[in-house]
Amino acid sequence: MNESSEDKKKLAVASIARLEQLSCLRLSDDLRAEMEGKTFDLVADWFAKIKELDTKEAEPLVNTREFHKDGGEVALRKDEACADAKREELLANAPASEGGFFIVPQVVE
Amino acid sequence: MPDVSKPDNKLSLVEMYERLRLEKSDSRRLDACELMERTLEDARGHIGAGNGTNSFITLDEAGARKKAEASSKRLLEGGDRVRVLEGIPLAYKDMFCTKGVRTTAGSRMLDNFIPPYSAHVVELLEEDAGAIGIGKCNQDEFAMGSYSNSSYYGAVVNPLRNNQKSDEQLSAGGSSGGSAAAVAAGIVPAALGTDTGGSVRQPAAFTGCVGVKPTYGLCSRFGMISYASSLDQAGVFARSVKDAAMVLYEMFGHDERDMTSVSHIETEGKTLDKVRLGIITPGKEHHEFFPHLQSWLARLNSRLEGFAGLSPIEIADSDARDSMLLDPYSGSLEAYYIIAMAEASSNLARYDGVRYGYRAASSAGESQASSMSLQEMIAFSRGEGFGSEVQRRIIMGTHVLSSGYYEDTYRQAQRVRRLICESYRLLFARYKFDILISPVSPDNQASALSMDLSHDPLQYFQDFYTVPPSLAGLPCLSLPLCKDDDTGLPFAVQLIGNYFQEDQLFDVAYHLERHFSGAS
Repeated sequence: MNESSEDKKKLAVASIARLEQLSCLRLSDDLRAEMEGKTFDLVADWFAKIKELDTKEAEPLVNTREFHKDGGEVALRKDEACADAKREELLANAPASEGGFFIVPQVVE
Repeated sequence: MPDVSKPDNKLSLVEMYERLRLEKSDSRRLDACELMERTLEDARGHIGAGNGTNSFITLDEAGARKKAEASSKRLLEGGDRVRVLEGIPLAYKDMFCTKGVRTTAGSRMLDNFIPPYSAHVVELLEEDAGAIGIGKCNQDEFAMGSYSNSSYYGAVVNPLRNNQKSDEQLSAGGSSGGSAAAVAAGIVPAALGTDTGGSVRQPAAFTGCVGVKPTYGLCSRFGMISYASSLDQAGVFARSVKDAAMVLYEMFGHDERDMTSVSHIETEGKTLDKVRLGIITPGKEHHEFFPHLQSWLARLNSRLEGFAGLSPIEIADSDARDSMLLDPYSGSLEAYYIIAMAEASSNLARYDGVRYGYRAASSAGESQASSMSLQEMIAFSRGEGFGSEVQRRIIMGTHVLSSGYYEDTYRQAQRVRRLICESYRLLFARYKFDILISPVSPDNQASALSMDLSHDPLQYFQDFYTVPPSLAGLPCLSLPLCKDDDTGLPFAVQLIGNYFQEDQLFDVAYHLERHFSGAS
């Protein structure tokens, strides 16, 4: 392994550790090794190529609706609380619940 | 004349529709309960790895029977209460929430998830149109993949075989491979899939089904598990254009629970003889990178000769030859994957092992709960609940949204997306094309199931032809035209229409279907 590819590997290791933290996702050791060794750089380098394209004239596009014939705004609902489902229904899928609440590990000392 | 020799559940949707409505005295009459029994019996042989096509994850036998009884009664009584799809069995990709019926998205994360509501499209199909969902179809986990081999419930197997290698199992394509296989195997006449970057069109092409992805915004995404919200659309698989149209026309309509669902549609279809067809493929200078493209073009051109008096125009030879859509390096594939992974990293943040979904075992609120912090509990639950491809995409999506990369990758991808939309606008508005024709996938046909590209970003190239119209939100239809002389596998094309021109798309597809079947 030459120096630059060693540096690159170090960078990938640091990036992945940071991304795991940002996305609150603990990768398995196998998957982390695969991403550090190959996949992360392959995909990140591929993605990075997009900056070479000339897009000076183009504003970022979020919604294709403006290309529809009548254009039109996105309609938002009124900001009102509504209850489509019952409390018990919503709690029924929780991995742990008690007394009408979700249970999580203790967060207050 | 209905074909009475076929088992009832192998009939087309149109034939089912007609025979369910016949007089009781007519020997060809279908009863909704009998049809349902035959459908369920068939479907039971396709659940779980090693069973048939493994196209189903869950069957709702009790629910389907109950609904079939009610439909049977309505049909016997006749009159206004009989709905358009009364008694017709359908299957749904496991991305569609179904009230009271387990919905997994093909993931361990949602292995036990029972939604308290149904997707809007499911409500429309069942409550308004009278169709009956028999169960949930297998798929790539969270719709991320092109081979339907990343499911927690095992890979989907294509019911078709290659004549030259008949002992080799083929991939059904993905991500909606289970829905495609269920329709191709004749279990149900139609099924729902979701299409973010080709997940209906590509499996349809690989299994010989018609697959339609409507205009973004036509169908509500409410209750459809999110992958990449600005691209996800519900779609339909069927064995004919008419059958696909019958289902799609019953599942669109404004829904205020999805702010991107449109309330007003303007269509302006032309008669077939006025339609201008354009063949859109990478320019000739790039053909060496697309080994199957020339044979695809030659076959298409020879077969289309004489089609309804229309001569399709190769866009590379027309005034519009400068279109960036002919350039394979236009950035559309990169833009698609940057946007899709970014949106996925955000959408999948909801899976935290708290409110629903998988929670890592050592923190189930019992003995070892105290050993993990809340943060660790969430991180381990996500690491154990999601499969590898989902985790890769969350990590890469987080990468493109992180500071230092956001502007040059994510925002740049959104700029490329605008240029792609504008290129389509030019083709439709200035150059007056009505329907664009392209291949569905670079390989043209299904690959061996044993070919595993899951660790290789090369798998993303599979979506080369399907992602540009997805980025633009245009309606598309994948249509099998004929069988390959050597392999016997379907030869399919992708038809792309302008916004809300689904009628036109169906019309052209229907006539092409007839032309190729020798009926015209």
